[in-house]
Amino acid sequence: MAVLQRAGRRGPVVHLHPAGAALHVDGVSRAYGGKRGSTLALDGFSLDVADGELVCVVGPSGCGKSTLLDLLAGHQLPDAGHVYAHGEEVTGPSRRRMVIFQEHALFPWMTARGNVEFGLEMAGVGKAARREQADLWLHRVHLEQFADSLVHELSGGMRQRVAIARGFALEPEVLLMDEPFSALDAQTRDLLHGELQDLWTATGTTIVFITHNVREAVLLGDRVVSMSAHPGRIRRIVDVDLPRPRHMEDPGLIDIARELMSDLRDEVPTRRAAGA
Amino acid sequence: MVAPSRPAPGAVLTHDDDALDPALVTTSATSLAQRILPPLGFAAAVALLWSLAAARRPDSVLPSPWTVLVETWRLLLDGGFGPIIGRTASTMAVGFGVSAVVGVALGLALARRPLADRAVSPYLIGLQSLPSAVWIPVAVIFLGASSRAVMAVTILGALPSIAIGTRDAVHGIPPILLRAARTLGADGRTMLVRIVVPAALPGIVSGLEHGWAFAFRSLVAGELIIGASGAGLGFFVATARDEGRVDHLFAAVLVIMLLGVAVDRLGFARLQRRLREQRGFGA
Repeated sequence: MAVLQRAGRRGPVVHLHPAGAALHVDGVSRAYGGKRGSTLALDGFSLDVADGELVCVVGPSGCGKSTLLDLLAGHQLPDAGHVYAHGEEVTGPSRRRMVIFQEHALFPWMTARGNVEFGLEMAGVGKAARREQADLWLHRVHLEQFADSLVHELSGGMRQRVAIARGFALEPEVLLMDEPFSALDAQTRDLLHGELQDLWTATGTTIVFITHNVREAVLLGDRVVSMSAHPGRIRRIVDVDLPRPRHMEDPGLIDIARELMSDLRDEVPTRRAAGA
Repeated sequence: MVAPSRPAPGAVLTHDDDALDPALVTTSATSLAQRILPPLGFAAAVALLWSLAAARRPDSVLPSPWTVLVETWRLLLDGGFGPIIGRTASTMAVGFGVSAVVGVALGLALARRPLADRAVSPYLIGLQSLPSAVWIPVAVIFLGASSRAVMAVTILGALPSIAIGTRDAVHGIPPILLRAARTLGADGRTMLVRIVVPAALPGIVSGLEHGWAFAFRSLVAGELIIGASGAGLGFFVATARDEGRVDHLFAAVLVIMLLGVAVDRLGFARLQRRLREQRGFGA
C-alpha cells in the first residue's frame, strides 16, 4: 500500500539528522532575471535524502527541477538557503556528486572506454587500474564489445549507458540524473530502467532522478517528490512502497502514478495564466 | 566493431540521433578518377576558351595556354623556379608557423578572459579587414624593403583570423561538455589541454586554414609591392611585370594557384576529414 503524505514547504515529516543525510537541502531559493523581471525558479525548497535512497523528482516544465539539480551538483549556488552533502556545504562541482545529463555529454573525440577512463584518471587512478575499471563498468552496462567504439558510432541508448557507466565508475556518494532517458525510445527506456535498478541495488548509491515522466518516477523511486511551477515548490512527497523489481504494468504503480498525474494536470491552467 | 543500432520507429530524436546513424548514411568514397577528372575537364574547357582568345593576339600580350605551360616547365627545370618556390615555401612555413602558435595561444587566452576579449577583439577584427597591402609601406619603413618586412606582413596577415577563429571555436564548445569535465574533476591546465583544445579543434583548424590563405596572399602581395628585390614568387611576379613577360606572369599565377590547392587538399582538407570522421560530422 502506498502512503501519501502532505509535505508542505518544509520537507518530509521524517527528519533526518543533517549530518547523516546524503543530501540536506535547506530552504533554497533561486531566481532568474528574465526580460519580464525575475522569476523564482525555486522558492524555499527543502528536502532530505537518505543514504542509498532513490528519490525521483517530477514536475512540469519550469518547476525548477533542473535548477534543483544544478544546485545539488554545485553548478549553481542558491540565492537563499543551503545545500549540504553529508554535512558539508555544497559549493562547487565534485565527482562525489556525479551528474548524468539528458544529452549524454560524452567527449566525442574519445572512445567509450576513454570516456569512462577520463573521470578515473582525474581521480588519480593508475593506467592499468583505470582500464580494468572502465572495462568492468562497460561490462555492467552490457557494452563491453563497444569499448573501442567512438561516441558517434553508438546509438542514443548506448551513449546513455556509457554515461551511466562513467557516472557509476567514480563510485560517487550521490548520482544526479537529469531526465537521462527522456530522449530515448520506449524499448530502450525499459531496458535502461532495468539496468539502472540493477546497478542501484548492487552499489547502494544514493540517486536523485529528475523526470517529467510520472510513471517512470514511480517505477524507480523509493519516494517521489512532486513539484509545482512558478515558483518551484514541493507540492507533495509520495512514498512508494511497492516491492522491487518493479515493472510498468504493476497495478499498484498505476494507482500511485494516477494521483501524481492529476497534480500535473492541475498545473496546466496555472501555467497558462502565468504565460508559460 | 561498429555498433549502429537504429533508433526504433517513432523514437524521439535528439541532436545526437540526428547526427549520423552509420547504417543510414552512405558516404560514397570518391575514387581518384572521380576527384581528378572533373577539375581537369574544367581546366581543359578554360584552356580552350583561352586559346581562342589568345589566337588573335601576339604572345607578348596574351600567350596561349600551351606557351605558358611550356615556359612554366622550362622555368622549373632550369630557370630557377624551384628555388624561388622553395623560398616562398620556407617563408610561409616560418611566418605561418609563428602566427599559428601565437594566434592559437591568443585565441585561447581571449576565450578565457572576457575582459581581455572585449578590449582586444575589435582591433583583431579591424586588422582582419585591412588589406595586407596597406601594411607593406609601414613594414618597409620599420624594417626596410627586406624579407623581414615580408615576413612581418605575412604574420600580420594570418594572426587575426587564427586568433578569432580559435576564440570562436572555444566559445562554440557545448557548455554541457565543460560542465561534465568540471564535475569529473578536470581543472585549469588539464581542462585546457585535455578538453578545451580537443573540443575546439575542428574550429581551430578552420581558423588555421583561413589564416594560411591570408598569409599566403599577404606574402605574395608583399613581395610584389616591395618590388623585385629578392627570391620568392611575389618578387618573381614583380620582375615579370617590370620586364613585360606576360608568359612569366601566367606561369606564376599557375604555380601560386597550384600551391594553394596542394596545401589545402593535402594538408587542411585531410586533417578536417579525419577530425570529422572521428567525431561524426564535426563536433
